[in-house]
Amino acid sequence: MISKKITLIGDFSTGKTSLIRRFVDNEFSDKYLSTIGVKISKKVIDIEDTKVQGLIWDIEGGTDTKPINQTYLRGMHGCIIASDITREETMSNVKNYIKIIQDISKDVPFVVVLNKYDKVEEKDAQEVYVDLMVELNLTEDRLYFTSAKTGLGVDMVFTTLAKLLIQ
Amino acid sequence: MHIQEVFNAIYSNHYYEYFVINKNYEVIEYSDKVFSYCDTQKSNQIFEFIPELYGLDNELYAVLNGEKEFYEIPIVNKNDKYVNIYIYPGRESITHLKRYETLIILFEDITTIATTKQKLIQEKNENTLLLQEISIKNEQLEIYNHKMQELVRAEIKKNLEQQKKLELQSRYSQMGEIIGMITHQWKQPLNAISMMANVLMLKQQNDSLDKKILEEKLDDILMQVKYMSQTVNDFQHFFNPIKDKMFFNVSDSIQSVLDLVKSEYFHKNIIVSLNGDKSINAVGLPNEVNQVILSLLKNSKDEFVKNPHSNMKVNINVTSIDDKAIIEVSDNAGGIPDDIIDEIFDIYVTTKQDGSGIGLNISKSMIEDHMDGRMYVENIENGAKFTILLPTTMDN
Repeated sequence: MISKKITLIGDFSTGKTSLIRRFVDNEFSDKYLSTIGVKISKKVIDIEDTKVQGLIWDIEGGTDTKPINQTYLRGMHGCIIASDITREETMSNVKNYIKIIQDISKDVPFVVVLNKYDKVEEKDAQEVYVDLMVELNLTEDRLYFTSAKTGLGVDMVFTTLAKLLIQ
Repeated sequence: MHIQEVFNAIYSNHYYEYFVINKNYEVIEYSDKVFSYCDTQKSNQIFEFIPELYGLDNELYAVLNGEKEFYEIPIVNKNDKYVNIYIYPGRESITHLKRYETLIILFEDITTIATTKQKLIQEKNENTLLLQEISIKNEQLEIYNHKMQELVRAEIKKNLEQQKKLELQSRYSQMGEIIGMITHQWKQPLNAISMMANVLMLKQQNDSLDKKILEEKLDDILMQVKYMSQTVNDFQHFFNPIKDKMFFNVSDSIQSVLDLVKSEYFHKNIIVSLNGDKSINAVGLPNEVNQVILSLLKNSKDEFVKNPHSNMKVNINVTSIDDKAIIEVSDNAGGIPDDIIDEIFDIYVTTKQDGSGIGLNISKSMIEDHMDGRMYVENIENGAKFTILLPTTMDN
């Protein structure tokens, strides 16, 4: 089994903790509890014959006045950038997080998620998706809709990233 | 002799726990309570105890080699406690200067401070979310308001068009009514003219037509024609739209309506009387006032036709109070049913089986919207009384 450090970053209240909780424990709570500092969770992800132990870093979300602490990103193997599809500014900030990751290492694979998909109309969500894909110059395999509430897309995002980590 | 006790006292109150590891990252020493911050106790590999160190080989190596004084991972949530994790160099290498044989990993418990901080951040984030939500709602509200204004404008335009249509419909309806009355009023003079023409023809055939009779009969015919012509003029005047408000004599205006309808009402045994102060002037659109009076008279007549009796009366009374002219039109036609009297001015509300429910609605609109007046109704003994208030000065 190989271990990989996966970080989750993004603005505050984009649902990073909820995504991890859904992925690791298959649970969800509507109550918002701000994360401070960092908390690590572990989950083994099966990629065909390979078992990848994900050490998933739930990192305190960034705000306008307090960016994320980059100490936590050292030694990461992959990253998930979370945004809230109902809050435009969290999506605008994705490009800043991509820059942070690439400044640390150009080779670190990352995926971007548009979380809280359950809160928007499908048509509106698709429009946002296309706009963001064009703006960030992302391919379809790097940008996902997720809903920690319903579980939509959550496993796929972690599995996709794990596949990228063992390539 | 008390050193051990002192050490125990200090140790039991301090906030630090530790691991000591060698260059192969194997645990060689640890404090008793350090495992409260670990996921496992069954390993000798530091990465199993502290997965936070995984991937930090470069950082650990830098401390071992003296390139970094220490390395810190701040505010780590470990088993519901918060710790700062520090990696310090341990025992110095005997063979290599400024290099180290061991690393000391310290856990500083900051749960109390971190919990307070968490609450502050939570509060701040919730406030920010609330402000963002308010901002979004405000934007949505602006969009809705804009849309609403457009809808209201469109609806007003539609209503105005509808109002115009209704007014036209009401006017056509009244024209039909008036034409019926003219027909009624023309019958008598036409008969008279026809009879006089026959008399003249017979006299001529008998050679008994002298100049005097001819002149008399021709005068009579001309008088009848004049009367007919006057009726048509009245009709034309009645429907000639006046768009600007003007001073007019209320009784004279109402009398012109009565002149048009008197014949028909007389033949139906309905007594229509106009009383009150004949000097009162009002400001408004006299033709529209006349249309309202005609509409009220027609309603009374229709009720009388449905339920005729021997003493059918419509009384129009003109008075004034302060700066208002008051026209009261009352009848003894049975009144308006109590269950609809409050809605009688609403569009399409009628007491008649074949009524359109437009007349009273348009009448109220003409009085209140076109002339800044008031119009209301109440039931009186055996009938209904409509009251119209009109301003008497232009300032009103």
